Amino acid sequence: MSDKFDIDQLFNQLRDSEPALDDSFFVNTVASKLKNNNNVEFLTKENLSTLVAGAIGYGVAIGYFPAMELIEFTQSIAQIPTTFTLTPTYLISILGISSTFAGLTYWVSEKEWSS
Amino acid sequence: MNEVSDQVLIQKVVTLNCHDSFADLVKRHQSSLRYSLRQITGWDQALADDIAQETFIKAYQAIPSFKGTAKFSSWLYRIAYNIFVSHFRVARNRELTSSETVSNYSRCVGLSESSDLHRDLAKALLNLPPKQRIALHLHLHKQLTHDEICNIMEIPLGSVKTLITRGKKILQDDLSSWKHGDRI
Repeated sequence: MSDKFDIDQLFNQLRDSEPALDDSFFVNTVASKLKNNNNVEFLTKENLSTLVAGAIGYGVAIGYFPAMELIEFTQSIAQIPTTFTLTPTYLISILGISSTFAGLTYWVSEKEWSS
Repeated sequence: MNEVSDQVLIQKVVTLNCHDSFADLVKRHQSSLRYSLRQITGWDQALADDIAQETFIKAYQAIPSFKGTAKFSSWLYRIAYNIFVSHFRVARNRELTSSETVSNYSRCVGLSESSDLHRDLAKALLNLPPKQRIALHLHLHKQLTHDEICNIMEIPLGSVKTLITRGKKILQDDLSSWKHGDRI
């Protein structure tokens, strides 16, 4: 007779004695993780309903929309020159304004506001 | 007792987003899946349960894509297999070499005083490469057909047969000492 280990017999033995693992804690953990996933889904649904409500609101308000004023506004926008010459003075002014704006933004974000 | 089929529960989850039905599916399949994961992780209970949890969460998210052509349990095993393989890839990147695994195995076997056959075999399986371990477990323990294992592991039929034959031979050689009463 072969001296080899009978693997099939071993696995039969394992199969017959496979333990039934307790489910209560495991199922609760999975359920709680699913609830967390569901919160995100709820927010998404809420956002969607807000968008739909917004679209309906626009549909109702479209009659009151100041279309003529807007056309006049776009016409005035069209009068803005599309080409311009970049002079050193103009460039320095732009740099100065953007630096000031960036500095102001940084200061506002870093400042600790007291109540 | 009249037990509702997996398919009915799945339908409720898909159409009604019914958490209770999914909880029933988890209750029904958790023991078998967790046991299998323990077997292929060297009876690392924490790791096996982590993978099992991730499997069920991914299953819940992907359940609308479940076609019902295969058994739900096979589909779960497929998800678990992918998670296990990606976990093993990460572990290997952390320089968890196979030699380290083998030495861990030897240490565990040496220290263990338990006569628990399941645990001992799980630790012995660590000597095999992960894919051989899984194929062998699915074939010999879960008694899945070669085709089912192909679907779970997403590899050709020939590869499955080779994995099983080679794995069986290695395990047989490793466990031959058990016959002489040397087990743990």
